[in-house]
Amino acid sequence: MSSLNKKQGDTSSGQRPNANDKDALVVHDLTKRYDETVALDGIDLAVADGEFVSVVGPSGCGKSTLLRVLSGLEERFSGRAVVDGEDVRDGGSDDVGMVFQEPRLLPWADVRENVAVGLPAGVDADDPKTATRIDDLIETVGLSGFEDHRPGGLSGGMAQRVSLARGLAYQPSVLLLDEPFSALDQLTKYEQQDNLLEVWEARGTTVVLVTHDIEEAAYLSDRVVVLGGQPGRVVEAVDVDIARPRRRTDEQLVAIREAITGALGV
Amino acid sequence: MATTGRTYTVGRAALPNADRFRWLLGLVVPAVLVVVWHLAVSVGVFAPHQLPEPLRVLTTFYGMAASGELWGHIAVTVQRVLFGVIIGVVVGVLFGTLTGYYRLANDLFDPLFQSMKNIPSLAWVPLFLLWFGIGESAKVLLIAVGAFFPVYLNLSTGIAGVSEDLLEVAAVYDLGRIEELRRVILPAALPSLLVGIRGGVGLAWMFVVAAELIAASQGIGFLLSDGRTLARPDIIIGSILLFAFFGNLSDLGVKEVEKRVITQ
Repeated sequence: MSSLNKKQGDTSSGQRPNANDKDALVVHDLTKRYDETVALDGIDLAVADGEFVSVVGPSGCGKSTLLRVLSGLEERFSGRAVVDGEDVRDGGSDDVGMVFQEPRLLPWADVRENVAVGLPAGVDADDPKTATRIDDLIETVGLSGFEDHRPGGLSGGMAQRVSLARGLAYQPSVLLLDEPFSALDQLTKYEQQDNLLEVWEARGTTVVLVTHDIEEAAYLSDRVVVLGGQPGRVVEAVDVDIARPRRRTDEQLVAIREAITGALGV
Repeated sequence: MATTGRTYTVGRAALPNADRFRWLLGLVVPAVLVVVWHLAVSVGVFAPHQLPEPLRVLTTFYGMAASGELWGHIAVTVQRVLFGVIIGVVVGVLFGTLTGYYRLANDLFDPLFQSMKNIPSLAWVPLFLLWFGIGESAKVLLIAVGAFFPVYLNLSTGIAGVSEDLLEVAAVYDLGRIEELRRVILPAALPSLLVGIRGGVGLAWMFVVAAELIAASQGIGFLLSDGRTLARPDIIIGSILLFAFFGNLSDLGVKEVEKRVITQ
C-alpha cells in the first residue's frame, strides 16, 4: 500500500498518507461502467477503523454508485474494493451496513421487526437477549415508545432513524449512509446529524456518508472526499482537524467549507 | 352560538346512523323483483310449470330442509368446494412462489399455465371422468383446477412485482433466500395472494356446478339437474339461489380475512 501514499491535499486521491492493511475500507482504482457511461473512474479511497468520512460531489458524480459497489449491490466493476481485508465480491460486503436515501422499511412490520431485519444471520430471534438488543437500538436512535408502530405512522425523520437502527443492528465494520438526511427539513436534519454523531462516538463504527450538503459533510466528518465531474473522480480530500464537539458556526468550519466548495469548482 | 353547536352535534351523531343502514338499499330492488315475480305468476303471465311462485320455491326447500334431504346436498357440495379450494390454493401457492421467485421456473412453467387458464371448465370434465371415474376425486380435482389458476397468476405476478428497493435491503443485510422469502417477499405479495384466493373461490363454485351437473348423485348441482329431469322449476330456482347464497358467503369470508390481514 505504501506506494499509494499521497500527501494530504493531493488532488488525485482520497487516500490518507498512512493507508495500511488495518483500514476498515480500502478502494483502489475502482472503475464502474454502465454500458457506455463511466460512472466512477479510478477511485482511490482508504478509511481507517472508526473514521468518519464524507463523500461529496455534484449530482451524477457517482457517489451513490460508490456505495452500491461497497455494499455488494453492484458486483461488476474493475479495481479493488476491500472491507476488513476481504473483497466485497467475496463476502466483504457482508461486513457493510447501508442506510439508504429513503428509509426502505417493511410497511407491514412494526419498528421492532424492521430493526430486526438488520440482525446478523445466526442471531436467535426468540432469545430474550435479542429483544433487549433491539429495544436498546431503538432507544439509541431515540424512538422508545414507538416499538410497536408501523412505518406508516412515523414521520420521515423517525422512519430514517429506524433505518439507522436497522443498520446498527447489523453491527457492520463499515456503515454506509446514502444522503440519509436529504429529504428532511432543516431542524430535523440537525437533530438527525447530531444523533448520528452520538451513535458513531458511542459505538466506534466506521462511517462513510455520501451527501451533497457541504455544510453537513464539514460538520460531521474527520475527512471529506470530494468527487467531481462525470465520470466521477476523486478531486480532493480535505481533513477536518477540528475538535469535537463542534459548533456549526465555528469559523474553522467555514474555512473547511470554502476549501470543499473550491475543490468542487463552484 | 349554543344553538349552532348543538345542531352540529346532532347532525354528526345522526349521519353515521343513516350510513349504517345504507346497505339495506341494496335489498330494495331484489324485493321489488320478488313481488313482480309473484304477481306475474299469479296473474298468469308465466305458467306455474315454467316459473313457480316465490312462495312455492320456499315451501319446497323448507320441506327438503325439514326432511333432512337438503342438508346432505349442501354438505356434499360445500365439502367438494372446500377440498378443491384447499388443493388448488396449495398447488397455486407452490407454483406461484416458484415462478415468481425463480426466473428459470417462470420461463419453463408460465407459458404453459398462461395458455391452460383459457381452457373452459366444462372441457376438462370428460377427461377427468375418464381418469378418475365418477367418484369424489374427479370432482374435487376439477374444482382444484379452477381454484389453482387465479391463485397462481396473482401470486406469481405479485412476487415478481415486489419492490426492488426492499429486495436490495434484504441483499445488503444478507437475509438469505429463505428469510428473504419469509420476511420480505411473501408479506409483500400477500395482498396479491388474497386477491387470487378470492378469484379462486369464485371459480371453484363455477367448477362445482360443472362437475355436479354431469356426474353426481348428490350436491346442489345434482339437485339442479334433478329439477330439470323431474320438470320441477321450483327446485331449479331454489338451487340457483343456494349457489348464490353460498358463493356470496364464501366471498364475504375471504374478504373478511383480507381486511384483517392487510391492516396498513
